[in-house]
Amino acid sequence: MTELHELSLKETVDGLQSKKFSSVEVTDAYIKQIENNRDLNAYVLETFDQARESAKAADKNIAAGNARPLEGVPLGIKDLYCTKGVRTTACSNILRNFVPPYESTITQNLWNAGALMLGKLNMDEFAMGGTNTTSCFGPVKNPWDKTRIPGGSSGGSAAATAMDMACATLGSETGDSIRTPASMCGVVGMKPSYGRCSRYGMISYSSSLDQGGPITKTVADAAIMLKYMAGYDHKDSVCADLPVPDYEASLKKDVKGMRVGYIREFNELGGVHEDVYKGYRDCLNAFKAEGADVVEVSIPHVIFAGQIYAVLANCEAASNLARYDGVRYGLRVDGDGSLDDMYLETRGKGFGWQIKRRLVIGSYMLSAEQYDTYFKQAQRIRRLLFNEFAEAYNQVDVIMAPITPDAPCTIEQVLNGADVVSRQGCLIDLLTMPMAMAGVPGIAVPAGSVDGMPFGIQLCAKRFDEETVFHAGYALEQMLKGDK
Amino acid sequence: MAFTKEKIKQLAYITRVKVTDEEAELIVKDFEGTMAWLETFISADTKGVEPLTSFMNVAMPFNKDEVKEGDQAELVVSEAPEKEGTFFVVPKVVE
Amino acid sequence: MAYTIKGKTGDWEVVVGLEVHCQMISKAKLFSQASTEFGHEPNENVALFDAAFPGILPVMNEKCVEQAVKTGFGLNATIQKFSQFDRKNYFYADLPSGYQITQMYHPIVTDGYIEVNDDEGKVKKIRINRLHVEQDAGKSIHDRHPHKTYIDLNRAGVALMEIVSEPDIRSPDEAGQYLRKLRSIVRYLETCDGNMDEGSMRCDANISVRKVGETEYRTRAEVKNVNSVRFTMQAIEIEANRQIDLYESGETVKQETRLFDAVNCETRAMRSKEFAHDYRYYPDPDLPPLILTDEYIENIRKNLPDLPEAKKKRYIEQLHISEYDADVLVAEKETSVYFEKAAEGHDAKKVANWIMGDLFAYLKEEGIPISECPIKPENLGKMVDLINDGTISGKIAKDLFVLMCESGKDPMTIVEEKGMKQVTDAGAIEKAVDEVIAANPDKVELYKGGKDKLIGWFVGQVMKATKGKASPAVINDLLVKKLNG
Repeated sequence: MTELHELSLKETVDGLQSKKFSSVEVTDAYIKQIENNRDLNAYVLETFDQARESAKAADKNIAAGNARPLEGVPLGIKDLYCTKGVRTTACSNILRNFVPPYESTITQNLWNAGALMLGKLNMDEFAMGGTNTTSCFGPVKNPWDKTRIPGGSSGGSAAATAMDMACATLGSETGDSIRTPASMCGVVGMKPSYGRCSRYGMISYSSSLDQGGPITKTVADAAIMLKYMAGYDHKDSVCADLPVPDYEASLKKDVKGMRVGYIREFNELGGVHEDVYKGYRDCLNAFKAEGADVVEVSIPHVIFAGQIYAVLANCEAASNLARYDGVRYGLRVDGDGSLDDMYLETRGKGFGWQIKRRLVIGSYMLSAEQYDTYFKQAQRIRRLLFNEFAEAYNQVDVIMAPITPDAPCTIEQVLNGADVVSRQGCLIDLLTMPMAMAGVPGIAVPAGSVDGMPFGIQLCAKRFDEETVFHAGYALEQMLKGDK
Repeated sequence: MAFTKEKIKQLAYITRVKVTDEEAELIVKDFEGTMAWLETFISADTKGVEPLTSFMNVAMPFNKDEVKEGDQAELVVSEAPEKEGTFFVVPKVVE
Repeated sequence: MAYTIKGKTGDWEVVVGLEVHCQMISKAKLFSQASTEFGHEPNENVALFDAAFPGILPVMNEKCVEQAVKTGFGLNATIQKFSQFDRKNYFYADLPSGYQITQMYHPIVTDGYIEVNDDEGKVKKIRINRLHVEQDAGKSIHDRHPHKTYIDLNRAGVALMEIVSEPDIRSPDEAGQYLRKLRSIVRYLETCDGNMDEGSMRCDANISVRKVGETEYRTRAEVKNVNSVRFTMQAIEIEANRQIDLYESGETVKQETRLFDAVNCETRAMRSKEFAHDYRYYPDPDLPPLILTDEYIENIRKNLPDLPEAKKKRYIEQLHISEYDADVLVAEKETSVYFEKAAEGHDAKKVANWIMGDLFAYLKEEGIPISECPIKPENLGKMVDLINDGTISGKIAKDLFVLMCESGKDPMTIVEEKGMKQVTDAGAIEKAVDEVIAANPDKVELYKGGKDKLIGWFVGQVMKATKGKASPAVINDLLVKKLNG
């Protein structure tokens, strides 16, 4: 018997709409699951009273025949999204007690569709990191092995989804923050094209890269979530004014004739566990067996993706984080009585170590003398990478690649700065950053395990072709299910 | 380029973040590592390549010249660590 | 004679560039829809964006593009079809996001000019390097408390046009002309109200000196806080002399920012940290580039109002107004509008004189602008007609003017009501002349004896007798005939 909290989002919606069970029952099931797994530290804020109220209201709507598409579905929300009247911290001490008087567009879209919120999820501070060990609320533990990291920055979202502590969760990605934790926690994570969803109300890290996306139990769930999250928003001046397709219609198993690419530069990378490579090859072969064309593509500039990210993201962050100054909201620490000192003390104490080093590096690289060497160079190489992906998508419909090369490191290894952490980090950068730097959409699908820990495979399509992403992702998911 | 603790503290000041001596030393090492890592990146051939500022080739969306926001002074200062009436209050700026 | 300053070691030239910030006229701010209206409670005109709340993004006000393009045309400049917004990063309490959205790399307007007269009276172009659009900062109030500063963000995010001239200005007078003309242009275009004392137009002066004949520019200092044309001119002179003194005593001029102190007539260096000036400019990723079509630009150009230079030319060439008078009439748009309406179909020169004389005096005394003048411009024109065609005398016209101010009625009505018509009946005037001559034989003797000037007295007497209604010219002729003949 499947427990209510073990159901996928689609099953939950179907069950609610057909009145097999109530939203109150589902919500209570998730609340219990959260309470039983607090040691994972996935949630930084529980909003159970609100959730139960919303569930009651949802049940009324369903009974009255006014059910909206996601009526009564309990979600977990990454603490990066401003939720009106509900504390939002980006997991930083500098926003420890910030309560926004406004709602982000993506979450508002989900509430408009009838969903409800269980609480705010843990993340790396200001979304900067890939391990979820930099949060002011402490690290998140991987549900599969509590000594290991869940990945980041959306570690709380991935862990919560993996441990059935939400029907689905909202994450975000700037470099790899959805795909990496999804891979490490064995769940589905989908990152839409840059500009597909509105960034209004999302606490900014790197404005030209940040994008919200769902982390879910199945590919179908991700398609449903994105359908309601995405869309044009006049309050975001660089948001795409494109209609949102019915992504559920893309969930097809048939991949005959689909052109699937694999990146030459990812072949034979030292440090990628052979189990991961085998899983990767198995996936490619599964597609071939179903009638897809599997083709090698070359994207030479993938080797610079991590560096592009390091430059652009840190430069933009240095600017975006300047507003956290103790004047209008957030933490304030007074210094010697001068304004300058108040800034120094507030930001010195409010920001964690990772943030500080990135602010310093970012400020250096944006300085007048260094601007061309780093920032503009990053934008030039990004152009080359962008063009290479565009060219590749002339030859293929979707590109498949690994995401994480091995079992995730332990939390202790990360906190101690062990070598293995940076080695693994470099590989993850190489495998994931190129897609983010090219702004293309992608999905992480659980594909196997290495050393008892899950790993995922990613499928990425060209910009604004989320339909192919869901098609290929769903097909892969079904193929892998068939094996088991 | 050798990064000194002083240079790091200068950069930290530019971004108004207090770093302790210890932290400054750590950042120096960090910097050196990062800059070494970025050497191939800096010297990569990008002659004649147009920088890509944004993925989005959209026209600037506009608002009409209408007053539709504001008139909420209490809300604006509601999260302020220090306020008086509807003013934000900060330690005195030394000119 | 070009403006120079005589130093101990020779003659020095002043080199000045002006950076003027003009607050744009618009209802809402540049990237938010909060009001730009003055005089509200602190932080009342503040949208979430203006207070830099996390995650709130900019959306541009279309009016601000229009205002910048219009002003660009007024400055004879090139409108750039591609321009972009950049972030200028620095920390200050009245800059909530820690960066100002401005246009550093690709401004919306470039390569303009304003004409001034150099010290030899020749027309000279002061080139304008750029006009760009940017956000204004909020206000910091330092004097309410000994240890605290109060922040009001009502002004934060209001649209500004920053207009930067090349260092073509060579004297305080040229600077004064430049500023007055710039002010006049933006007021005409209604893109800025140009109030320097209210802060809607602010000037920073970049000042350096060099020996006459030198071609290279020397180090310049920036003088801020000059909030009037007069202060700008004073500051230039004071700062130039300060720099000359330094050079002549063997020292150097530092590149720095100085404040103008009008009370003590000096400039003072502002304390600031050297490396704090790196603004780390980069394109704002929250805004796409601003791309203007030819159609859009042409549409604005077509609908531009006449600018002061064009009007001045027309007044001089077509209406035969003197250059000096034309300058006065075009100085304020409202005056030129009034003048044109009053002069239409009437004697333009005489109308001009009445406006610059009696009308301005009246307005000044009442403390009202010309837009609130009780005399409709057409009526002023009609009044001048009545003088010209002899219906009333010039003297009576003065009284008529006052009555028009008081009642707002048209001149003919008042003339009828008060019976102000000039007496032109030769017989009646002759009678009065004869009476005056007869009553003053002694004066007649004096006149005949050579005191020609007494004719004026006689005219006065006849005017009195005819209650001012007789034409002085006619009286004069008759008197001369009778006294001489």
